[in-house]
Order: sequence, then C-alpha cells, then structure tokens
Amino acid sequence: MSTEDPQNTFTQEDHQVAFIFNPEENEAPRRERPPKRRKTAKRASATENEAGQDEENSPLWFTPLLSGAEGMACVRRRERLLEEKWAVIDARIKDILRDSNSATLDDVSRFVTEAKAQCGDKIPSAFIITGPNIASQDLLFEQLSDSLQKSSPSKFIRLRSSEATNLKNALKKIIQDATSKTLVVDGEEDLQLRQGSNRRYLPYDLEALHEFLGHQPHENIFVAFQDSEGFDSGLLSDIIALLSSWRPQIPFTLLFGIATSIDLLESRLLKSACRLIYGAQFDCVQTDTILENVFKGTVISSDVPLRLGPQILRSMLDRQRDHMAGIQAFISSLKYIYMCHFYANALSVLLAPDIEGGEEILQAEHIEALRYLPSFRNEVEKAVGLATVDSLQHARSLIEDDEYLLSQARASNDCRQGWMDGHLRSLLVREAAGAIQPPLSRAYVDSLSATYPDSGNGSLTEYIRRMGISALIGLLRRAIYIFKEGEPSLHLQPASREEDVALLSFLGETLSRLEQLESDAESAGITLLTKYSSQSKVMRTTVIAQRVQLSRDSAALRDEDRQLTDIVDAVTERLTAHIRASRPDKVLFSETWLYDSRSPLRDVMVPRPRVTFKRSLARPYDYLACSCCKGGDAEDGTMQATLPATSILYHLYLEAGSLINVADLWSAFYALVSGHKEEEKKEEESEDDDDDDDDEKQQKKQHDERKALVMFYRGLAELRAMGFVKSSKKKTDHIAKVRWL
Amino acid sequence: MDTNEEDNTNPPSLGDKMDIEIQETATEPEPSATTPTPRRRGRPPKSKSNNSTPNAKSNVVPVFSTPTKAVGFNALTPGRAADRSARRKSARALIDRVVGDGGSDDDDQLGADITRQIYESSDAEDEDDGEDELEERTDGEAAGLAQGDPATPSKTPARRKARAKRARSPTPPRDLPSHELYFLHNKPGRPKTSDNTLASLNLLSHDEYFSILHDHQDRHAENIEYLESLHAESFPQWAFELSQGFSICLFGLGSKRPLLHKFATYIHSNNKSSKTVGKIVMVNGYAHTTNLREILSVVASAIDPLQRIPTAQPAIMIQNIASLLSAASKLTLTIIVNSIDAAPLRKPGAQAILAQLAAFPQVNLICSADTPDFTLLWDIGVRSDFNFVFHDCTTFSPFKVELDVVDDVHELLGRQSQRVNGREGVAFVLKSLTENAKNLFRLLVGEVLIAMEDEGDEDVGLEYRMVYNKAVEEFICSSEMAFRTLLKE
Repeated sequence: MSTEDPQNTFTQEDHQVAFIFNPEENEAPRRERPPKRRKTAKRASATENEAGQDEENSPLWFTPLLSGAEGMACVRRRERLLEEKWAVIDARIKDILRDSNSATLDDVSRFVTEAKAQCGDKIPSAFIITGPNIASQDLLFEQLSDSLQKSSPSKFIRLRSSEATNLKNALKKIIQDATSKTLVVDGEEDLQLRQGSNRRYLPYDLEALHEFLGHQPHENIFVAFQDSEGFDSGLLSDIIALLSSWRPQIPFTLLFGIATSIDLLESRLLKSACRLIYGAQFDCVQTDTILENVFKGTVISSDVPLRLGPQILRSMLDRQRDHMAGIQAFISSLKYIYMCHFYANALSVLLAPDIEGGEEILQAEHIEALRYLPSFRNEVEKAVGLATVDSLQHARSLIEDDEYLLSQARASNDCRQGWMDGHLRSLLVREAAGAIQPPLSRAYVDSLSATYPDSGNGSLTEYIRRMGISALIGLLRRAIYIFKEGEPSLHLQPASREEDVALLSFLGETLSRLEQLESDAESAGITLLTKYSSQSKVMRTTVIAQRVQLSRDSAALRDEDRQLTDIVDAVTERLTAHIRASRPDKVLFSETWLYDSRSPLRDVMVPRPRVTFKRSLARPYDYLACSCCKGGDAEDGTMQATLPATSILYHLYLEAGSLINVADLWSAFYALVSGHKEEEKKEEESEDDDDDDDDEKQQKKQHDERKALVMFYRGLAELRAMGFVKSSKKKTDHIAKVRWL
Repeated sequence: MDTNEEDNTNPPSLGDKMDIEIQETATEPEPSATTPTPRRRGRPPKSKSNNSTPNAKSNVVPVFSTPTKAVGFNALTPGRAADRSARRKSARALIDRVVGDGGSDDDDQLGADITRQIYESSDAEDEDDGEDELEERTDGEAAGLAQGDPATPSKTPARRKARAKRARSPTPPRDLPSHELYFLHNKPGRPKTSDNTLASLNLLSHDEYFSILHDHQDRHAENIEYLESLHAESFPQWAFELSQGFSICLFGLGSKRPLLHKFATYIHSNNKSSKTVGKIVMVNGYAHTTNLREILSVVASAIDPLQRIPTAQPAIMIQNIASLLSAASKLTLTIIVNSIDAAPLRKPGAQAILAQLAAFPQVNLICSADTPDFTLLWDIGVRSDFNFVFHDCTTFSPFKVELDVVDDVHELLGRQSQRVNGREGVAFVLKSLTENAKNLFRLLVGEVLIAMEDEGDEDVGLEYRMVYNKAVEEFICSSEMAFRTLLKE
C-alpha cells in the first residue's frame, strides 16, 4: 500500500483535481497492467475473507443478518424480493405519472395543429404552467417530446438554462440536436453537413439547419425552454426574435415551461418579442393531485405487499406539504423504505413464502426471532386472556411447536390481505357516508392510527342518521358495490369472507325495502322523515311571565317514517359493527409486512447538519467516547483542555461577541491548554527528580507554546473553512463572527 | 449587586408579546398630540418608574424633563425623532459608562440606571428601530413581565436593580437561542474588545508548522480511529444504496477524505470480487485548481481510456460523456467527490453539472460535505437529480490536505501570506510556457529528483550532456541551439 502513512506524507493525488482510483496501478507501470492486475487480484482475494462467498454473477449487496447467522439463501431471497416488489411499484408509479400528464399533452398537441392555421406570421408558442416543482418538469417534457414527435414528423429540442448560457450556445444546441450530430470541434468549429458537400457552416448558423431540413420535410421544429425562469431575459427575447424571423423557412414552435406565472415571463421579455408570439396557456396537473394518485396506487392499494405504518406515512406527507419536496422526493423516500425493510429485516423473507424454495431456507434463528416479536407476544397474551380451551392450546402451540408457528407465519400473508381488505372497505364505506375529509391519503393515515368513534360526533352513525332517504339509498348501493365488486382504483377484490357475504345480503335486502318505501312515499306524495332528521322536531316558544321558554317536541311520526327510522337504525348498527378499524401492528407477525419506523428515513432524507455540527463541536466526547474530555460538563461553561482544538475554540467563540480579538483568543486558548499541560508536567516532575535547569525549562515552555500555536492555527483554519469566522478590517488582528450556531 | 436577580430574566412569554403588538396596532392612527409625553403606548409600569426617578440627571435625558402620566393605551408618541435621539444618547452614555467603568459610586450607579431604563424602554416600544434591537426589546418586556401586574405600577428598587444588573453583566445570559444571541451581539455600538494584538507573537511559518505537526501526537488518535472504523462498518450499506440509484452525501465535522479513500478501496475490491466492470474516479473539490472541465475529462477517460473527448463547455462534455456511457453499458462508474461544498465547486453551474452526471443510471456518486450549510447548494431540481441520502459521518480527523492552515490563518488575520501565491504563481508561469519548454522542465525536474534519491543529499548536479541527450530522445528539441534557448526559459 502506498499510503500506509497518511499522517505526514502527502501523496501526489491529494492535490490532483481528479484521478482514476486504482490502488494497484500505483505499483505497476502502465504498460504491463494486465499481468500485474492478476497478481494483485490474487493477493487481494486471499486477504479478503468475504470475497469468496459470492460466486454468482449477480452482485450481492445485502449482508447476512441475525448476527451473521443468516444463510445466503435467505439473503439472496430478500434481495430478490426487494427487486420484484419494487419493480411492481415502480412500474405503477410510472404509469400514474404518465397518465396524470396526458390531458396536458393532448391539449398541447391540439394547440399545435390548430395554431398552424391561425398564427399567421407569428410564432406559435405554448406556455405550460408546471408549478414550482421544477424536478417534475423533466418528465413532462420527455412525454411532450414523445407525444409530439409521434403525432407528426417533427423534431423536439429541449433547452435548459444551464445549457444555453448565451445565444451562440443556444443556437448550437438547437442545430446540434436537430441534426443529431455531434459537433466536430476543431479549430474553426465549423459544421459540415454531409460528406461530399463542400459548403461549411458555422455551428450556430440556422442556415445549416435549413439546409439539413431541406431533405427531410418536417412539420414542426419544437424548441422547448424547460425552465424559462432560469434563462436570461435578454437571451430569451433574442432567441424569440431570431427564430421568428426564420419561421418562413423553418417551422419553429416554442414551448415554455413556467414555474411562476405567464405575466412574469411577459414582463421580462421585450415588447417587440412579445408581439411575435402567438401563444396559449396550459395548466399542468398540480403536484397535490399527482401525489394523491401515487399515494393511492403505491400505499393504499390493496395488493401492495409491504404496508407502511401511520407514523412514517404522516411524516412523509408532512414533508411533502411543508418542504414542497416534490413527487420525486416522495418516490425516493418510498424506495428507501422498501430498501430498509428488506435490507434490515431478516423476517422479510416471509413476505412471499409461496415462491419456490419454500421454507427450507428458514433457520432456527428465524423461528427464534419470530417468537421475539411484539405481535407474537400480543397474540399469545390475548389468547391466554380469553382462556378457552382452544385459545390456550393455540397459545401453547405457538410457544412450543415450531411447526405450528411456521404454519401461522405462512398464513400471515393471508392475514395481511384479510386485514387490509377489511380495512380498506371500511375506509371506503366511511368515505361514501361522508365521514372522512377529502384527501384520502390523510384519511387513510388517520385510520391506521386512530380508532373510529362508535357513537357521537364523527361516528358513522351520526353521518348516516343525518342522511335523507335518497342519500341513504346511494350509500347502500355504494357499499354493496364495494363489497361485491371491490374498487378497481385501489385494486380491491370482491369480498369473500362469510360475514361479508352476510352483510351483503342484509344490505341488498335493506336496499330493496328502502326503494319500495321510497316509491310508496312518492306515490303517496309525502316526504319521509326519520326521528333524527331536524325537520321532525318542532321548536316551541312559550312566553310565560315575560320569560321565553323553549321546548322541543317530536312531531308525530307517520308509520312510514317509523319504518324508515327502523331501517336507519338497523343499517347503522350493522355497519358500525362490521366496520371496525384495527391497528395493523396488532395482527400476528405484522412485523414481516409492516414498516413503521421514522428514524432512518428522516435522518437520511432530511439531514440536520447544523445540529450535528453543533453537537460535535460542543460535545465531542459524544462521538469520541473518550474519558478524558467528559469530566467537565460543557453546560457549566468549564472546558476541558483535552478537547480537540477546534472544539475549544468553538467554546471560546460562543462566548465572544460579534468581533473577536485573535490575540485574546490565543491567550485564552493558550492559558487553557498550558494550564493543563503544567498539571501533567507537575506529576511527571514529582516522579523523576531532575535538577531544575531554568534554561531548559524555558526552552521547553517555548516549545510547548509553539505546539499550542500549531493547534490553535489548525483550529482557527477549520473554523474558517466551516464558515464560522471571516477576516475583518475593523481592527487589527480581529476576526468577525459570521455564524450563530 | 446580587446575582439572584438573574431569575427575572425569563424569556418573554408569547402571550405578552402578542398583547403589546395588539395594543400598538390599536394606537396606530395617532391623533394629534394631546399629551406631550415622548413615548408610552400602553406600558404604564415603565413610564411610571421613569416618572418617579429623580430628575437629577436630566441633562443626560433632556426629553424626560416633562414626565406626564400615561393615558392608558391612547398615549402616543409625538416625536419619534426626539425619542430616538434620546435613545442614542442614552446608548452612548451607557457605552461610555461601560468602557470607562472604574469604581462607580452610588450616584453614578443611579444615573446609569436611568439611562439604561431609557435605552431599554424605548427599545420596548419603538418597533421601527427594527430587528437589531429585538434582543433588548424582549429583554425589556421580560423585565416588565417579571414585574407582574402592570395595573399597579409600584416602583420597586429591586426591579430597577435587576435590570441594571442584567444589562451590565459582561457575559450574556446563558442558553439563549442562537437567533437571540445574534441580536445580542449585533446591537448598536462598538463591540467591546481589547486592543491587544498579536504583535508580540512570532507567527508560524510553514516549515515550523509542519515540523511541529510531524512530532505531534493527537491524544484522541485512537478514538478517532475507532470512530472511523464505526463508519467503515456501514460500507456495505452505502454500496447497496449506491447500487439502488441513490447518491450519498456524508457530512459532519472532520475530514472525511481518509474514510472515502477506504470506501474507494472497498468498492474496488468489491468490483473485483464480483467481476463487474467498475471504475472509480476521485475528485478533490478542495484543490484550488478544481474545475469542471478537468473533472469531466477524467470521467470521460475513465469510461473509455482510448477515446479522448474534446475539452469544451461542460454542458457539451456532459453530452459526450452520455454517449460514451451508452456505448459502455456494462460499466458502473463510481465518482467520489471530496468536499463537494469547497469553494471551487461552489461556482454556479458546477453543482448542476455534477447532478447531471449523478443522474446517469450507471454513475454512482458519493461525496463529502464539510460546512454546515451545504444543503443550500442545491435547489429542488438539482437535489432530485442527485437523489441524495445523507449520512452523519463526524470523524474529527484533521483536515490535513484540504486546508492550507498557515496561509488560511494569515489571510484571516490580514497578514501577508508568506508564500507569494505559491502554487498559483508557479502554475501561471508554467501555463505561459510553450509545450516543449514544459516538457523540458518536466524532464529536468524528474532527473533532479532521481538524482536526489540516488545520492540522498540536497545539492545535486546534472550532467548537461545527459540532459541534452534525453531531451533529444524525447523529441523535445532537435538541436543544441534549441536546447539552450529552451533551457533558458
């Protein structure tokens, strides 16, 4: 190894801007690389103990869990599960994103075809309001490019503000993309269109493009300004004017991606440029809607195997709302969650036990781990609490019988599906009854964590009672549909459990009764009331001795009304009994398919560098775990001289005002450090009784001071590099404080 | 001056602040002056106490000569200017007192109290003075709050003392939130620092710095090493994250260069054992000469060493790299960027280009960030291109290579840096030479180094003839004449 002593030597690579990292090459001359490589490769594999483990051609990223006892088959299974599951989700997300923009795409292409006839000598331009989320613009423009090129023979050129810094570059990019040729950048930078033609063009000459297009007729040349806000306004005006002047020869059409508003863009352009534009405005689907759709498809949807818990979902949704993080951030968070689950949870192998290879890969450690689960404990306790013969037997076999445990674990997938479908159905029924607030994502998250109230405000009963007969019929139809057909948007299957079937028949019966009742009432010409609807109550005001008395009387209910009331009562009772939200984490072995831990995701996606820096500077022993510094409590203001220099300086820095005298800082620093040194020295000196040579002592002291100064320099330079201080001209040897961390 | 009065400096409750704001907005349309009281606005307790202070020091506070009782919330401020000047004066008086604070007798003390009250109370009311007084303002309110019921403004000496004491104490109250500290530190007036300079101190030279550093033993070396080994344990996880299309950003105190170097070695051995084609490019963001073109051309040469892409605009180079990458579809390229937030990479556009690079599915990017504010480098578009996951990698290892400690500190102190533009100067001279002269120089240096290694002492000589022969061999020059001219350069 060439860098065995990085302490004091600088290698050449340290100051190189960039280089190809190859530790073997350091020893080998370039020419004879292949033989050398083989040699070192052998050596490396000899030293690496894990290297031999995977001989398969697919790289293995996962590490064995269960303190290393996990078999490779399981590890591989987890990795494959992740790949499979995520691929499904990923494809679904892509579909949703594609669909969400389809309306905009259609509008734009319609505009393009119509504009041709109407625009006259102006240049047709589509202004697409994408909203502030510029991260999703890429996708939109990609789709635009696809769809527009499909609909007519045309070229699509995407310009980004970073690529087109001036007019020359922008034109170069346009021509280059349109002719799909890489530029030959020789000394003259000119462009030769085809072999044999002797005419050469400058690379930013639109004549070249014209010439090129002469052979292949195109209906449209689209030039898309993806982030129009990023472009220099003068440049935009120039390009518009130039392209417009070429329009008779080359059929340019412009597309603008706008994050703010069209007025803002207009005000930035020159009046003359604005006059050349024949434009129309298109609104994209807003991020909220897309997010809702993605959430539905990837989180709520019934066929998603990995369920997310309420905590993590809530934090993800909050982040979307508070940080305006964009849909991309949501997707990568989701992916990271999947990665976490399969990477770090050994029991995630159970998520799909039905694939080939069965259970034999499960080990004793897995079974042990299953018995440690909270949900296992919960189940056993519940069974013991019931104290029937069956339940006690169940609990006993769970604890003692491995086979029984495994069969239960195998069933956990069905358990999940059953729980999930039941949960979704109740959610949908509540939605149909109007009992939840519109964004389904929030409602779903709430339903995971909180139980529905059985009665009183916000309960299903309350909402149903408030309904009129027609609304009730609507609700029943919807509920029947939900149980009978499922819900395609959530991939929900028809219900098949016994109690569901029973409920279904009850609902069907009630519905027919209700319809009968309604038609009867209609023919009789009466409006049906229940005892709960407000019209059925009459407020009576009596004035007695100059006091007003309010009293309520139930209006007399007709026979039909009473029938309706009975039906309402029956429906509420059945539905409330049937719809019971249950916490997912209570289901046996839910740990294999439920992920609800906020910590890694939050730290990884939303870093808190300031907190980290503050902590590491103020309390380095938290990280270093050394005994020497811990003694003094930093909160008390006493500092230990053993702290790293940067940390000492940071503490001093905290006490200083906005302007810091370096001389004073140095003396404080030195006093602290030397004070500590002297203590140490005293101990030393008491042991070996030297003849006290004053000169030597002086020299020693001098040396110590220089040493401290070196540390001081280093600490100060680090503070500066981290942006804590900057130089100040207010006073000599003063520095200014620029960070209040 | 007893210290237990510190208790009164509780942070102001929000409710109290709100109250005041409401009151102030309520009196916003100021009617014509009915009472000439300078400032009041619904803070009876304060004005009360001002009223009752003896007028002995009226020369310090001329505006205060006609104290009138406040008329509840409808009291008004006829002249803000007057108020301000009073405030300024009292501030000056305060500063004078603090600066030239000898043994202050009781009388002096009283005066100081008055000025201080003016200073603070006008703070508390004068919103227009803006945020830089916020700190004191809240202080004033806190004092008012601690006093209790404002409806019975009984003047208590303890309170006055408390306030005076608090403002006078040289160390600010502990545990203030950082934004409050900012306002405390940036209050008007000259910052009070001593006039000491480093004149007596012999500043370090580079040689001394390095020679001392060479002998220096860090007492925490072991702990730092252990910490680093802890981080190294998550290498498989990082590799996995990279393989899933995420980029990694390591942040935290201390140099992460050794750690990343280890990680590079890890990836390298990983690549070899799994027999995938992988290349690793190390980028040193802290190097002064770092620029995108160089980075991109190294990246391109890593993808395909045979094809050289022309140096051009970074945006164009990126396109070339894209086409190279699509040709070499099996390759995974790992780019390791040390100090992605270093000054050379903070230039506009640099991060966007790196993000585009990271967005290629074949490219994995892992970088380290050294400053606490690195997240401000990226907007949402760049961020989603990078697709970062962040890991706290506080290492505490010193920045050996990244920082030029001595020069940095001297620059910080405004001293002449002793190496006169060392590296840049040499680079400049070299750049201005012709290609052949450069080659000759390289040859010469190489020979000298070899000779030094062989002989091992400082002054080595080279044989003129030998150098000339070598030069001819390498086609640097054709004739002795040309050789001489080149050598002269």
